[in-house]
Amino acid sequence: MIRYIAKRLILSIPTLLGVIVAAFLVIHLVPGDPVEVMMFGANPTPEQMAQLREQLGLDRPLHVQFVDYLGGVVRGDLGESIQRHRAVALEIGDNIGPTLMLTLAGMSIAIVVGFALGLTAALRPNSWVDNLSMGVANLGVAVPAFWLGILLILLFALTLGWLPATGQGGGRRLILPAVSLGLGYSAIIARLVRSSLVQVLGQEYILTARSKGLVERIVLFRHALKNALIPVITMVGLQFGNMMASAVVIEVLFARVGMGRLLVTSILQRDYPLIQGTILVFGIVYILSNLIIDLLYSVVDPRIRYT
Amino acid sequence: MKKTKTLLFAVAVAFLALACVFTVGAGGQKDKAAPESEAAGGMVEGGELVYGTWQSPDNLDVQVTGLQITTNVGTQVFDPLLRKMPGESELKPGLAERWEVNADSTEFTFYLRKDVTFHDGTPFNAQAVKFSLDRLADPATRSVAARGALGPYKSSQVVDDYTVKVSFSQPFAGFLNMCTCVLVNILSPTAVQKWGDQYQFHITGTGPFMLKEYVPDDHVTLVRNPDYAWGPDWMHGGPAYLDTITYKVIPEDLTRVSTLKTGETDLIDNVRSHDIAEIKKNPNLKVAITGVPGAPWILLLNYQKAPTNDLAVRRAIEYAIDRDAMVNLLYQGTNEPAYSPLEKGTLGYSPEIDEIYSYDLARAKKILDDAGWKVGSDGVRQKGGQRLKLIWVIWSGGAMEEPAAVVQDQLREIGMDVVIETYDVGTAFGKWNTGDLNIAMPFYVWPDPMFLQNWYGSQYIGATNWAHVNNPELDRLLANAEKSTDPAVRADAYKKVQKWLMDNAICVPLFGKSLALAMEKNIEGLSYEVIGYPVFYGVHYTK
Repeated sequence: MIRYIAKRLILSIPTLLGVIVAAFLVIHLVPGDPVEVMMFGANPTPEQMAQLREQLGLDRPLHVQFVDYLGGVVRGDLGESIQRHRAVALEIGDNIGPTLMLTLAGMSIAIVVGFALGLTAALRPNSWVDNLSMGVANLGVAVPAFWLGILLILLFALTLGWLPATGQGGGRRLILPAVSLGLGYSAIIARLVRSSLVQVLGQEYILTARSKGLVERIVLFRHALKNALIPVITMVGLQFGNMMASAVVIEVLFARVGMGRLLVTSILQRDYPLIQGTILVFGIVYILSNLIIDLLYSVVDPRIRYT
Repeated sequence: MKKTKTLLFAVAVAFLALACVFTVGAGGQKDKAAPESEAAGGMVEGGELVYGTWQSPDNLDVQVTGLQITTNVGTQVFDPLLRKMPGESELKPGLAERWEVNADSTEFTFYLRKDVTFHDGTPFNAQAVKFSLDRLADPATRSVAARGALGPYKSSQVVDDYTVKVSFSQPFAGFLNMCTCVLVNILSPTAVQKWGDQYQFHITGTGPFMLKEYVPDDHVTLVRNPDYAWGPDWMHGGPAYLDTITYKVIPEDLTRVSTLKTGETDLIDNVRSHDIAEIKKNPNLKVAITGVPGAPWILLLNYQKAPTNDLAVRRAIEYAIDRDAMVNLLYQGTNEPAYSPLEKGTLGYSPEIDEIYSYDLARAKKILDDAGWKVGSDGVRQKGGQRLKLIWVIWSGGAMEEPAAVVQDQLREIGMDVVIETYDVGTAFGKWNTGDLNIAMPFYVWPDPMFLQNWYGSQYIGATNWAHVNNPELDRLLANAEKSTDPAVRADAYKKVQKWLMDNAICVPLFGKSLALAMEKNIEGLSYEVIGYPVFYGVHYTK
């Protein structure tokens, strides 16, 4: 198991390298640079702009800048934010926690609501309960998180006054952002739980379990659901990274600090080291969440063993 | 029945799990500090003001960044060397009691107040002024916009403890006006030395409020400076009324307005015109709109690139834009049509310049006809095989899309094909600087007309001369304008500059800038500093 994890981590290095190269190329190949954004309003002379470029090392050939950056990353140094004059690692450290909290809360909602709807539908396939649950799920897939967030603010903060419209941290301030983020994903999970479970419930071993006289709860949770989980876990794992990326709009809407907002502002300000650092962290999260999902397979399905 | 129970069990477990997630970190709605005492006239002393702001500081060091929000915070934390009421030209004492300028506007001597201390107890003196200006000019500070306020700075000399002489390598008549805003930022040398690269988390000035806490992207908390006794003499004197001001970053317009209505914030900025009518209907809220000096929203027409290198094309644009219609459509009640390169309230603004052009569609068409631009089969004019196509570069999120669409529509009337290209800020600036376009659309917030040098001087092509105009006559007029600090002489010189710009149709002023704040009705005493930033020194709640 440990060998497997180590192997996977080593194999992820080329992927991360790809992420670094792609991010570096994309931000450097579009016209304009941080100096132009920084100097807006400063009435600089072209000489002053050149001086700042030199100071920031932006006048060096692209490959030199890249090798320099890569060297830093290998040493664990992500550089300093151009605008904020702070270490990129510090900025990420300040922002990753709130985003993980939001993503985990959103994911919990997605899983809970998704399973509730999916189970309800699967237990009575083709009944009105099924149709209603799947109708709700389809609606959930179709509604953008941003728009849902606006509606939730209008209803729960403005009209009813039950919850704050903005805020950091957990507790009541987390509810509206997490629901906005999670509801759409719950719909995806619900549909998958339903189809997977309906399929498993039709298998002969379920009939065997029932004919042995097992209580329905055990049939459902121990025999059926466990086997129906594999595709759902895959989906949840894939969605975790996506959800963290969706946090961008949710963080802006609800005025929460986090990686998403950090990425948006760093892109707008052309803060190269900050953009690269943030994208690298998103890449790492994708890789790690995929690894965790693969490991979970072996927990759910004893036939899968990693050596 | 069993199935139902199973289901209920599953749902119950699920909600328990959710409950666990949401108990992580306790949060609650803002606990507002209750105002302490009530004075006469229904005025309440003390209390907390929560300010919902659209912009997040990239850095809280006023010397480093030019971001509005940082200057806004700085306006409460620092005092300017000189003071000026918005829209007036008379300079008043600030941290400097008196000042003298040499004949060619290269040396400025300031006689400083002797009773001022920084928030950390450091005495304010000539040494502190020299330290502050030297730091602002030092390339190691990596100052961006704020550095522009120091122009051709050479050095500062401590004459005695309370006298400092500031020298420039070229005439810099606009410096006195620059000293009225906190961009010429006088900070505590002790604090800078103590905190080093962490100074932005410990900004230390002499102003009525002191920094308590700065959490990037989230909030800035200021508390009252109890020792403040050197406020402007036209205000109340003594410390500020409010106990604390908390700037809370809320980037999304709709959310910001919602927080004002729910009471999560007491005052918000950057209120869009479509929200203003709605807010005005609310009996507990009110709106304050103020003009801002500098340049209005303006089109800069590329002097070198076809087809805007043709004077006829540029002049036709001047006549073809119906600003009243645009403002009625987009900015009713917030912004006014503009007709001059300088905004009202800026030194050098003159109603005479406003009169040079007015909306006249027939005249615009005639100018193009006379210049040989004939309407082609697709409704777009042509001349010598060249279509009258103009490239306009804007950036998304810069509030430019709507006016650009209106102008595009209006110019189609006279047979111009305007292509709007939208990029992110960085890319758009890149194109503005290289001149790979016909139209750029900036605005500018500045207390002095000296920025016209940077916008239209030929030495700034590739930097801020986005019209890419290189004309010796214009360069001469600009150089003349910075020679005297006499406001009347400068106003006249900048009027000549503007006349040249308009006669040659280098720029097309569209509409004025404004700063719209919305707040609770019981907030009184708000004033503004010279470039329109709110001053909270006199702000208080009423009963």
